[in-house]
Amino acid sequence: MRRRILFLLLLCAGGALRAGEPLLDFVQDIENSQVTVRISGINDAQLWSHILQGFRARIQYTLQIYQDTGRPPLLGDRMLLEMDLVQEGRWDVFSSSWEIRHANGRRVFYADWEAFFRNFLELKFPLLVFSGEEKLYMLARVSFQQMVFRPPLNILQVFYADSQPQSAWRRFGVP
Amino acid sequence: MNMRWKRTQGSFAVLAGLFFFYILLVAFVLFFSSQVLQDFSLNRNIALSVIAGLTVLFSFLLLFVLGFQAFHLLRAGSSKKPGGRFKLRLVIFFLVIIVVSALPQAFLSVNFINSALGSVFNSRIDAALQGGLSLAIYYYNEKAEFLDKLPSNDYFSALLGDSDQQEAEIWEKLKSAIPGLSAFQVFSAEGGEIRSAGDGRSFIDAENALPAGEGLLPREVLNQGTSVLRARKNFQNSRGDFFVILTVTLPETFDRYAEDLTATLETYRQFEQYRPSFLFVIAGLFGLFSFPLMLLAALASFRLSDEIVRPLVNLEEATRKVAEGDFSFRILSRSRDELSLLADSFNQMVMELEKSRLKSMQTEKVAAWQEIAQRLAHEIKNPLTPIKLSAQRILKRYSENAGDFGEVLHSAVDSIIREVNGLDALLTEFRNFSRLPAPQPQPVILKDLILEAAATYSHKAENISIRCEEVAGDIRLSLDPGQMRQVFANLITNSIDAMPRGGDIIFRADLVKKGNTRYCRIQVEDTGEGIAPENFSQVFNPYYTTKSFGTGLGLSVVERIVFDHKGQIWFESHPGVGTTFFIDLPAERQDEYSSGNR
Repeated sequence: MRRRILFLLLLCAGGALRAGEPLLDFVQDIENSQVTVRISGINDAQLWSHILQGFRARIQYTLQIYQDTGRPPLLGDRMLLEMDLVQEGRWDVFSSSWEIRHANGRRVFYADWEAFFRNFLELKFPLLVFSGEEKLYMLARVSFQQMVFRPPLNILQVFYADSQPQSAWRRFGVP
Repeated sequence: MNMRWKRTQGSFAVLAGLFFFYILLVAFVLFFSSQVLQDFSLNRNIALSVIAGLTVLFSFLLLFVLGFQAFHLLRAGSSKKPGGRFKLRLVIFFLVIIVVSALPQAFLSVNFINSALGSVFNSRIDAALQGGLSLAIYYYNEKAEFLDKLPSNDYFSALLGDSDQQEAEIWEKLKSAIPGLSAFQVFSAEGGEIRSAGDGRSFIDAENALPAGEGLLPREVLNQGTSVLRARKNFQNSRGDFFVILTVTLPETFDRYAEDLTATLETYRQFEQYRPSFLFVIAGLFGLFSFPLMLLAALASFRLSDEIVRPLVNLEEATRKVAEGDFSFRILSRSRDELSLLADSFNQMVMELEKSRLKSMQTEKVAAWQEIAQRLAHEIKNPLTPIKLSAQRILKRYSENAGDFGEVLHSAVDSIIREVNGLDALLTEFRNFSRLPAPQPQPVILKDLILEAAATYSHKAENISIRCEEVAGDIRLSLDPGQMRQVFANLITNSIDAMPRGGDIIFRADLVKKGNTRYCRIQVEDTGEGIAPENFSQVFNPYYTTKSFGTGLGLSVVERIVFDHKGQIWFESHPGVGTTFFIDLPAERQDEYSSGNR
């Protein structure tokens, strides 16, 4: 059993190193009716340095909920819902605190880096409950921009793909 | 006319295609430039990647077409096809102009962008931004420090800690003392709200207030986008523990201006840090869209060169055809420009030449027939004298009742019959010459025809060797075999007559190119006495002969047959060495701008 776990951990770490992309973790808190999508594999020292220079970092979550129709893979399942959620993190020079701007426009300030880093790398949203007997699942992907270029320099975004890794699509079951 | 219309249609389609791609590319540039200043990383903007992809694809397509055109052009240039080198020179000239005109524009554009951005993002702007930000921070800190220290002030500490005073009374006193105060809330130590006053929108929830420590709370931005500052002060009195939250709302414009300020500073810092990369990318984008435009221009230059060269090539071909004797050739022009006028003038000139030639031919024909008539009259008159003398002799002997009348009659009648036979032969030859039928061409292997003619005469002439040298077996010509057999027979007979002491007759044949037309050149060489230079001009005249026998029509028939086969005949002769007859017969027609492109 230990060997198996070790093997799985090595496999996950190897995959992450090979792809150089962030990992997605998905936690369903049924009691609090909340879903948390958490990212790992982000270099916090680099992020800290960039943000302190006055730049913004951005995380874009793409969530798609599908109904499993049982059709062949080429035909695909039916997409019920698609969401693009963006949250940005930066240093607030006025209050000397770390700021997160959530997808809904809410701005939260953190006095310490750890709390900011922890909250920035996760997305919480209410548990979606669908009626009926359909088998549902969610595909999630996250793209991380260590530094968001402002126009007109945003054209550089295309050429700095290394600083904006994107995770692979992950599939999660929806209750 | 139909061909001309089709060509006009084809040319229009090419130009329309080029124009369509040009408009498409310009639309791409406009769309891309309008999108590039937006924060396209926020949405999945497929259009941008599609446009960039299409532009690259379009460039590759154009490169392929250009490569194809260049390959054909180089091949035409190296194979010395008419107009190939001129077209190559024109295309190179156009390409040089395109590059020379595009490069300064590229450098100018990138340099202009660099200078413009440099003038916007300069050190004064940086200082102004930093100064503005310092002022804003100073303003914010002043507010924050005032709020932070306020609850510790004895007066306010007493006021806030006094549970007996009415909240409206405390609120009025606080408002008059603290500018910008928007809310005042009192919570029990357990988090229950005891009392509150002020703008309800800036109230803090108990769950957020409870875990906060005493002093200044973290900055908070309300839903309407305004920032609030909060301070907490814990109190303890006879009624128990409680804490007070004071909330100050910053002016609405503060957040907006602060946001603009920090965003501009962020842009400035990014530009400072990534300026070389940005210019490199801008140059790359310029290239991405200007390169296909240059390729389009290059493609248009190919087309334009073709338009310029084609009339000249047609004119060259027409001139050559006329020089070769084909006066039926005409140039069809597509446009109404100067080149078209030149073509019309040329056609007019050829028409006049044709008329003049026909007139000259008519005159020559009349003169030739006069000469033939004279010669024929002479040839007919010559035997009439012996016939007349023989008849007079018979009559005289008969009137004298001579004893040898029978012998005389026999001899005179023999003479008359001989002369009449000669006249009959002469008239038969003349009839054959004047009624020579039109050739019926069919594919013939030349070597077989020559060998056949040589075989017929090789056993008839002793001491004469007839050889067929350097005649390729695969030369196939379109000829009337009967007439050409007669040509070879007449030439062989002529050569045999020129070599009474024997000699060699040698046949040779090879392919030659005159202009763009390929000919088969046949040589018939003998080692006979040769032709005297003073007789060169009369060799092909009918009834001209230096021999004591023969009609003098042999070489005239040869010339006529060769002419009817659209060929040419001439000779070289050196007295005492021999004579060589050259016959050029058309082998094939193959050139780039032949009738289909006229």
